[in-house]
Amino acid sequence: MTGEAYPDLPLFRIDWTAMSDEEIRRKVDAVTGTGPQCASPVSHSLVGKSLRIVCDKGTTGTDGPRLSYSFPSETNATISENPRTVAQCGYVAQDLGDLTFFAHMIPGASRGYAVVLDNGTRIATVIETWFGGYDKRKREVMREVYQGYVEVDGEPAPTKRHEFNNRLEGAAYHWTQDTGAETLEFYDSIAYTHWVELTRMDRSQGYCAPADYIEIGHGRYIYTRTECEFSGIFSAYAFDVNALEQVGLRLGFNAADELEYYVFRGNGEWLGQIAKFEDFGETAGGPMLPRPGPGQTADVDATAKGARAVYRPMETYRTMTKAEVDAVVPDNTHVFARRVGEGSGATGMAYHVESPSEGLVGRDVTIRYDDGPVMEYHFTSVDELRYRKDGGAWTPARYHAWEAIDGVFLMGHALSGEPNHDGHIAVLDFEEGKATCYNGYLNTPYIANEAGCRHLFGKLIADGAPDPGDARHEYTLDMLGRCITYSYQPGLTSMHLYSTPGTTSWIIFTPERSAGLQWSGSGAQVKIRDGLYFLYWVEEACNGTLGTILLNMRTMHDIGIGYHCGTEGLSMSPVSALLRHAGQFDLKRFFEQQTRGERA
Amino acid sequence: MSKATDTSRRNFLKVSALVATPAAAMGLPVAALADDGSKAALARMQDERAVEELAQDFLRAFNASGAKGTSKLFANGKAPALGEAVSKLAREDSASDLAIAEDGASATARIACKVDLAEQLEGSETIVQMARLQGNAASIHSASKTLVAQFAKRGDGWVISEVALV
Repeated sequence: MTGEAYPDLPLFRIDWTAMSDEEIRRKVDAVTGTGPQCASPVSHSLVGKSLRIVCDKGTTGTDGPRLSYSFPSETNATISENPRTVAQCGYVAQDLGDLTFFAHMIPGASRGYAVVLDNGTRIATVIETWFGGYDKRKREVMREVYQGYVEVDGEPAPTKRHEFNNRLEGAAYHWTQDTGAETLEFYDSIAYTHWVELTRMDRSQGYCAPADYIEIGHGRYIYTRTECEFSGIFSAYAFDVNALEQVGLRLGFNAADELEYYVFRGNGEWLGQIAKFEDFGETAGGPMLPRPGPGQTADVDATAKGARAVYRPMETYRTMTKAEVDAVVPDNTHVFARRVGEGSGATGMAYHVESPSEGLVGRDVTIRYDDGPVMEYHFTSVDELRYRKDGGAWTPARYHAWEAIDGVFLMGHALSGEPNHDGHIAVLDFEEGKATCYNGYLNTPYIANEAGCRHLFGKLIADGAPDPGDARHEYTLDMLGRCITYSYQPGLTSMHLYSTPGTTSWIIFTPERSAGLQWSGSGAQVKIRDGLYFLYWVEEACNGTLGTILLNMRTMHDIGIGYHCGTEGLSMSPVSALLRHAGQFDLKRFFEQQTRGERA
Repeated sequence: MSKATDTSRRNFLKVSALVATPAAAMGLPVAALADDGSKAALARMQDERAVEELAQDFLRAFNASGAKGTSKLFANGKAPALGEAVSKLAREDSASDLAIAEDGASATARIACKVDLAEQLEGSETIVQMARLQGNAASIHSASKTLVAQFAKRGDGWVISEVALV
């Protein structure tokens, strides 16, 4: 895609250009001699000096380089590798206390280094970066991390090294760069990260990417992020959590295919710390190496330079055309077909689902959705209802409902004969006379079997239900910044982070209970009561599922319904988990003018 | 592959501790090794060390990235089939043995291991796929088994020719 560097589209909707090796090389070569840009005055601390850096093996066991530098000026360096090649290149350095960060590219190689030197200890972290290492997306920056030290004649080599560990896990910061770019950055995994662009984009959506977390010591860390599956842009910075300062590099191609290659300084703000779930005292961290499992890409070489676990959702997503969807769904709609509950043989996310409620049986309900349909229901049994939409014909349908608190039910059913195969997942609130529906549908403009979701708010009319007048359930910021763990079955615990009013991110815990792989989608957060929230997310460009949950913060239990279309047809299935509250980041001030606020 | 003969079966760890020490550091005059078969003994010790390191590399690579991550260590470049349920191999040192063939061209190691057998998570939901990708399992139980590894010496060093759990 060429045009705007940051178009008004979610990253997962941008048609990223498949840049060629030649195009990348040409654009990188054009700036290798001049070095990265920098909005702040550059450091002179390396000028006139020579350095020899000895690296250990990298994260996958590949040999690390021996790098020799001389720095005749604050922008020009001479580098030799191993010591094979001697080359001139541009560089920029920035200092952060005892640390010096510098970055450069190698002429003609579409490859470079970012180096963090601890001048007090002579310990160094060397990050090698290169383009073209992932065949399916050559624009994606690859990285390998080497620990090492600065070699000094007559001095013994330091024995300590900077360390990959989990010390940063669970923290979040608001960073403001000297470029003006502002981000919310969540270190909510040992191997992944989540971030929200506050200035380059419209702050509505957060995204996830693989990350490195390395401790230098004394409250100083190194972080990297590679925006895999999106632009492929790489960021790395050293930072001091007490001084709240960062120095780092941004390298890669934006949506206009412009090369961003600059060193930055930034100032931070701590947004809080959530709980960790590893054994007390456990500090093991990433990176996570790839372990391809069933249904995942198996051609990953875990010993290759830079290899690590990267979640690439489109690799496992079987997309369908509208014709395929329309052909398969009418005869293959499976509503609550799965077994539920522990001991029933239920798998996946249905293990903790309780038996559906009989509380609606025999009741007649009318829901008048604002700017939406009028739905009339008669609940004939615990499994079946009859409905009619906008006064049409009565239609039988299979449904299930669960009573979350007295008089408040989550209910779901599919609608017959709708062109886009709608399903209604609704909270029926008999206590307040309100109803809120997440109306799932297919045949979106993007991927036909990816769910879309309309938000319908309305009035529930039934015996004993009060008239709410104009009052409705409302969007809320109560969940913003919260992290809730969802334990679905042994071996399957996910944590949700609600990083914006419209973002749900999910993070999968490892067997050691470290937060691991992570992804995110758009959604909404609606308040039913204090402590009772109706949430949804769509797994866009991922699995296409619409996930909904009615979350009770007092019982730390939820009930939800998933709406999903694949080659096997359309399914609506229950999900439920046992929950823990991991904490809440302080985010409200970034979104006070921006609740979800969207009523389709 | 040469025919393996049981000529030098030793305790694996004792050998490795010994050969990890350079001959010079052991106070042995290197020139003296040229006589009386010591040179051959040194070569055998080097082979034993190389085989042991290769076995260690196999265990490390398997535990880090599964069977596929070990393929580079094999003569045929293919990942071994130890069974999909095998998720981790932890060495139990007491019963590990190494036998190098008399002609020095092949070797067999028998390594006692605690084997973690994982029951795969079922389901096709996104988070189930992600959990499987990072090595999660519905349950894990352990069993004591012996990893039998066959090695072959090639011009550029030792490679693994076959492994099996018995």
